[in-house]
Amino acid sequence: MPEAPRHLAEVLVATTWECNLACAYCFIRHRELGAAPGRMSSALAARVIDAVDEGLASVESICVHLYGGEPLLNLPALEAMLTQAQRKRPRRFRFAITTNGAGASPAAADLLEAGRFQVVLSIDGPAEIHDECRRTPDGAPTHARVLGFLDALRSRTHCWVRGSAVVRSGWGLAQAYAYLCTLPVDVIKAQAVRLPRGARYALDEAQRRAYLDDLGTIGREVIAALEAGRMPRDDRFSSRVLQLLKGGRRRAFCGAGDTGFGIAPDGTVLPCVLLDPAEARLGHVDGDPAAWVRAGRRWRARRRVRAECRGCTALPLCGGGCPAMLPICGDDECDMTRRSCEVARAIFERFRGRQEALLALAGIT
Amino acid sequence: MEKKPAAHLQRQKKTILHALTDPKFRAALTANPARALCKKPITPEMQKEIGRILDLVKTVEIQIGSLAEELLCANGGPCGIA
Repeated sequence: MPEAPRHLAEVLVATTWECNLACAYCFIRHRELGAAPGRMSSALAARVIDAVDEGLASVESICVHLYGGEPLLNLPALEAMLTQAQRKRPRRFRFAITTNGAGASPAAADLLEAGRFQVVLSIDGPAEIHDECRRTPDGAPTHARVLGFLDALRSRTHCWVRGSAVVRSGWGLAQAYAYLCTLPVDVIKAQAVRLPRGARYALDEAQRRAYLDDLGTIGREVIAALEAGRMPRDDRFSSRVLQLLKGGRRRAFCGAGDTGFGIAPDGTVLPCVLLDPAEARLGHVDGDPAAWVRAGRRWRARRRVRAECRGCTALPLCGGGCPAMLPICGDDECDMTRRSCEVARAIFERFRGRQEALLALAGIT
Repeated sequence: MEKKPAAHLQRQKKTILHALTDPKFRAALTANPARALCKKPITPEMQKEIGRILDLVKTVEIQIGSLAEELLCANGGPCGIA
């Protein structure tokens, strides 16, 4: 990361690996569900808040991002975290959640409002696209339920909502982007499915090329928004353009092990919740927080830039790729990240000499 | 809220950009705004404005630290797969 000031840490907490959907392309499902079932208890959830508050004392603010599995299946843990966070100093904690929205209830919406959650809501596309992959284990479609939840979020809460779509074979980036733009959400993101090449729903060669072209098209839409003094709805390039604006290299792909940690339903602490506990376990929330913080630094220090990254022009903006995703879809991930970095540079260059306009990427308009 | 004139907003953005890209200026703006901005005196309203500018610089830095198009990050960069 470019001389990251320690303003914010992000802790990804999987309060359960259980899910009410059986999405055809879910990499979490294959990796985790069989291995570690169970839900985080309320007592452990409260302990998570205490542990990260203590372990990350040098960071100004902590975002607890609930993940899984489907985090809304474990409302008691969510509520326990909110209650415990309210006992800390004001603005010490903020909350985010990635949810499929398919099993959400009015009680869930009220809890999200109480925590002023940032909500990442998965909606792939119109019903026929969404329901092809995102079904319950017994095969029921979920599109209508998700839109109902979005409606509840908009009418009952002040939550900030991101519409998030998975791009897959037969459903391109430009199509997903256009669909998300029709929804009443604050920001959008459509992203390629994370599957090994050749897997069902993975993009084929022609679809990958189209995806890379579509990134350029979205980049041009970002430029148009900035020219108009607006914050773009698709913010995938924003962090990299702002990095170019500030200057400096990204020294690691993300803050995992330093300003980023993951916590599994059983309380295991990891650099990121997507990493394999057998390889990356740092400790447990019941242990001494200083110990897992130190272990995180050691994990980070051991990481080396891969040989294939060393000559890559994208490295200063990329930082070497996501440690959790490279083993699953490394080549595709690299192509897409490299293209994203190129588009980010093009956006930056477009505003050379009038860089104030780029501040709209951070909502400063 | 009172709407600030365009020229004021443009000046504010220039100051944000300066503070973002020049650590010495930012430190001076924090420690001694009158000297950093070559303005005396700094009124309470200006002081408030400087506080807001420094907060916005922090917002930008938080966004730089996240990776919008990647997995999971929520702050300026939530996850794409749920």
